[in-house]
Amino acid sequence: MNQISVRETQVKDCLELEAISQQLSSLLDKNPRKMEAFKTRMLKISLGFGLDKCTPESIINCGLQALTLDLPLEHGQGYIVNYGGKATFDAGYKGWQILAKRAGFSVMADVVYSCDEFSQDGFGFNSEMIFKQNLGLRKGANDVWAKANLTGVIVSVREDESDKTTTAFVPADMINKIVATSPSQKTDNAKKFSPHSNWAEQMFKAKAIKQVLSKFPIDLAVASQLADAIGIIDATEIAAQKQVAKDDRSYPDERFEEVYPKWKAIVQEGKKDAITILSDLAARFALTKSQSNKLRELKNFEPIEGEK
Amino acid sequence: MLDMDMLLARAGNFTGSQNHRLMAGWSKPKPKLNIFEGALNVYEAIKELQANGEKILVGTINAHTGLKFNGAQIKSVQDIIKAEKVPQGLITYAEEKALEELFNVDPSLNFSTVHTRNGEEREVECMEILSEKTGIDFINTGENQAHIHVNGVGCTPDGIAIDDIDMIYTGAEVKCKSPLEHAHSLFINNTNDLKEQAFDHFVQCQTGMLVTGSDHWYFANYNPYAKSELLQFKYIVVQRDDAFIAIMQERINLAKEIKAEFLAKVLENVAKPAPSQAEAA
Repeated sequence: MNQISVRETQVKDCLELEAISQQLSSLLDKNPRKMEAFKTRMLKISLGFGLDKCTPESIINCGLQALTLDLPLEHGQGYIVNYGGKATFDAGYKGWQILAKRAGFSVMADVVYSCDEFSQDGFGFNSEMIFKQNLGLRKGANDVWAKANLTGVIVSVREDESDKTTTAFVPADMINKIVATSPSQKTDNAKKFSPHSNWAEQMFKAKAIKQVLSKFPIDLAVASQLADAIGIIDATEIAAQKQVAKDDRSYPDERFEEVYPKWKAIVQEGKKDAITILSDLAARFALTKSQSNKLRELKNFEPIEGEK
Repeated sequence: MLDMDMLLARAGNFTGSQNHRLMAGWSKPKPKLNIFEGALNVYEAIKELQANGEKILVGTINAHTGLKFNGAQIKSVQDIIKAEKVPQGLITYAEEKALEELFNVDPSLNFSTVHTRNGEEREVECMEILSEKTGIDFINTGENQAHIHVNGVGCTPDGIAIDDIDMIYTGAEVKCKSPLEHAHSLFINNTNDLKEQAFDHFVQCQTGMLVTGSDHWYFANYNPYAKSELLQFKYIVVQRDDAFIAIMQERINLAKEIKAEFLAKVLENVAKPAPSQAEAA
């Protein structure tokens, strides 16, 4: 069996799991045509570039989440992003606008770049924002430029019933914390795939809207989908942060210097070999060359055989 | 099923989950050649006759040694020679390890099934329960598992616990199996039971202790579908068995020699030019 056939079998196996079939059947009102279409779409997505290494369960779960929120995985409404081999669902700018609209809010987002005129004055109910786009210098369609020059995003939320408008500014730091560190855009190949890289401005807006809506008082009775979406994307963001923590495997120098004398002592007492200490740490941390060399020096403190 | 990064990290190492393959007949006491007077003469005669492809008969042995031995004596020496043979399982394992140095991992041979994936997910749950029951903060679980290896021997525990100087002081192996296998695991109450009833897992835990220098390890079983909560989860503390580890270390050393010889043989044959037609003829 070649790799693609193996992958297809895995995805098909997973789609046949009772729990998934039941959920699908309930979400699609037992409509066999829609269910088949969903399965075909999941199979296609699972074989697609960037997601072909994700577990089938995680991809199908994203598909089910998209169905729950009634957001198609296309037209910029919903995305699937690979975080450390696990597919996670992410909503796009348009997706958030649709979800907000269903909950009775109109949402707009304006991206502020370093070339624009922007200032905030006052605080609380009296805060005032001044924003003038410098259209001559802005290159929002250029993803590299957009990321390098992002100042933040202004999010405006209007309650449709009362016409009451709220405006909030989400700074670049906050957005970068979520978007720029996304592992799905770490390698060159993944960059080609990642919605965070290819549609940077759209994702800035989406992340900023989510950030503002998640702090917004929402009536769950009329906005359950919006609340569900916030919950789902919270999980996506946690997955991203966990992945970043996993990628940062360095062992702090300060801690190394603090503990080194204790390692030396247990080597001298014959409790552990130098190589065991080195292997233990090297398995869990990306040690620097100098740290590795210093750990190798512990060999000189091992007791002579028979003296242990 | 392990992810590709983990498979690459483990390549070539004699790893805990497979090290039981080194241990066939490990508990048999080493035979001694002082079983009767002249046993050494019989031993040498048998070796020589075997090398010449001759049959081992009482008459030929007696003729060869110039002494008189009976069939039972010769048989007891033959048993000693048999015990000296390296187990075939160990040879195959060592050769496979050699090939891991020469071949990349074939992803199509590392496919998972619904069952293995369910097992993997449950292992994380099992580690959480183990942490709760023991009060130990197990880290490097699930997809963050670490492969620790020293001198070509490795282990990939399902979780490890760290002391105040960032060293591993213990680890855990957890199993999430079918109801029947899970039920059998409930009979395991201590280190000795594990050795007798689930030898491969016993070797896995001892390998973990060999690699990390720990003096105990945790072994847990979990099946969330047991109707009674009492049947769902069980763990034991496995004690370090220094005598066993010493024998395992001997076997590992032997396997390393076989691995090196096999590697050299493969590479030597690659280096040899193909025979010309005339030579082949």
